[in-house]
Amino acid sequence: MATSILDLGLDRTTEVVADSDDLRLVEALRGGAEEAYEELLTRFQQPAYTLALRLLEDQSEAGDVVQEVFLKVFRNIASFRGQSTLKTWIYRITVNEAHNARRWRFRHKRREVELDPSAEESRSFEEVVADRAPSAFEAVFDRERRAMLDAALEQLNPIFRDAVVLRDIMDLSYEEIAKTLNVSMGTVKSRILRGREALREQLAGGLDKAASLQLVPKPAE
Amino acid sequence: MSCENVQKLISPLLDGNLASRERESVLAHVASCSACAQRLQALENLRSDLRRLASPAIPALLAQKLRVLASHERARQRTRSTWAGRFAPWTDRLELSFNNLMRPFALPFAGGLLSALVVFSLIFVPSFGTASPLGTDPAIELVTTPVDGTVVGRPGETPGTILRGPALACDDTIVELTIDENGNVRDWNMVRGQMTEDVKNMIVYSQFIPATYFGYPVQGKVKVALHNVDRGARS
Repeated sequence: MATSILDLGLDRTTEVVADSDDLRLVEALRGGAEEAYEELLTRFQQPAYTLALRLLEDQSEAGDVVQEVFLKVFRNIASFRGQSTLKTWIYRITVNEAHNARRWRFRHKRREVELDPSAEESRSFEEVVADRAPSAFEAVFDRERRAMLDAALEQLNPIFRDAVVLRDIMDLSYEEIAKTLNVSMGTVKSRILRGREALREQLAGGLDKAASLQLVPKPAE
Repeated sequence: MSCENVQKLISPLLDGNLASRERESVLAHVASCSACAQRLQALENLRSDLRRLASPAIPALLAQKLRVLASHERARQRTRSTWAGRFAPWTDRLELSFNNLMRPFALPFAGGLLSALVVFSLIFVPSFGTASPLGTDPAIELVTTPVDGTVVGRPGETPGTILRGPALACDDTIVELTIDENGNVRDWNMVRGQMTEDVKNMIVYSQFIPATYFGYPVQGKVKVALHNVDRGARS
């Protein structure tokens, strides 16, 4: 059991400075090449959106943050000196912007009442009807577990959440996370450890597939 | 290795961030300790759940907004790459401020300018618009001197002209006349020649265009030469 687990990401070596691809793209962006802008969006708009969404758990805010991130990227590309990868740089901006958005929400939006329909209610007919899950039970279980995980992530201390999301969802190495969050490697390890432990504890009382109803075929008596 | 230490190392173990000796020790402990094995399993499940968390595709509207943003920023960058473009926002702002400042004065200024043009046109342009049917209006000039007069002559006589300037001959009679504002001879002074009856008649029956001062007829003086007065032929 443990052996298969340890195969994941063992002895990873990751680039922590900009590679030639990054430098070429940055140079093209500085030159105002249209393809460079297109390439930057193609490479990073989805990861930046995913990261913002996982840090904020709010689609609308995540959209605003992503726009702000790319505005800063476009306007500050001249100041990118290649001391980190382009990915790390953009993720760092995203984390900072998400942090600002969270702070703003904490200050201003606590007393607001949501008027928009929930994400579940606003889903299109096709999204509601289409069911590609292997079985109804699996789908329900998976959805419930995902909802619990989302809720647990939302309740997690933002400092730990940043580290866990960057590691387990965005798949960044410890070095990249350290550069993104501008903290030491030891701090990164500590935050990931504490974040995972906090998540595990929150989910411990939740759904457990193994403990759920099991139907065992028996001959009729 | 105690369970507490092992549980601290499970997280870096999952990420492959343990030295080989530590990793062996942790694995050996996990193999013999069910509590730590359960912790490892739970964290591994959590990790795989997090990895499997649906990553919703970026909304089409947001992707479109990002492309518009990129297009605007690219245009902005290209504009700012030239000196003119770099200063364009400042010059635009200055121009706008100046326009806003001048806007309240535009109508009064245009009105004043138009009024001034009309007034000065009326004063300085001769016979502005209509001419007198009699042709007796004085010339509208700042200052004029009496000009050549027309010798009307007595009734029945052919009017002649009075010579001035280079046309004068040595034997011409020269008279300095004082012309009043009506164009009539008010006084005279003989400069050369004698005052004869013919000369006197000619002077008395002559009509001059008076001198003007800012368009108004005034008294003035003019020297005239009378040629062959004795013979009555005037040129």
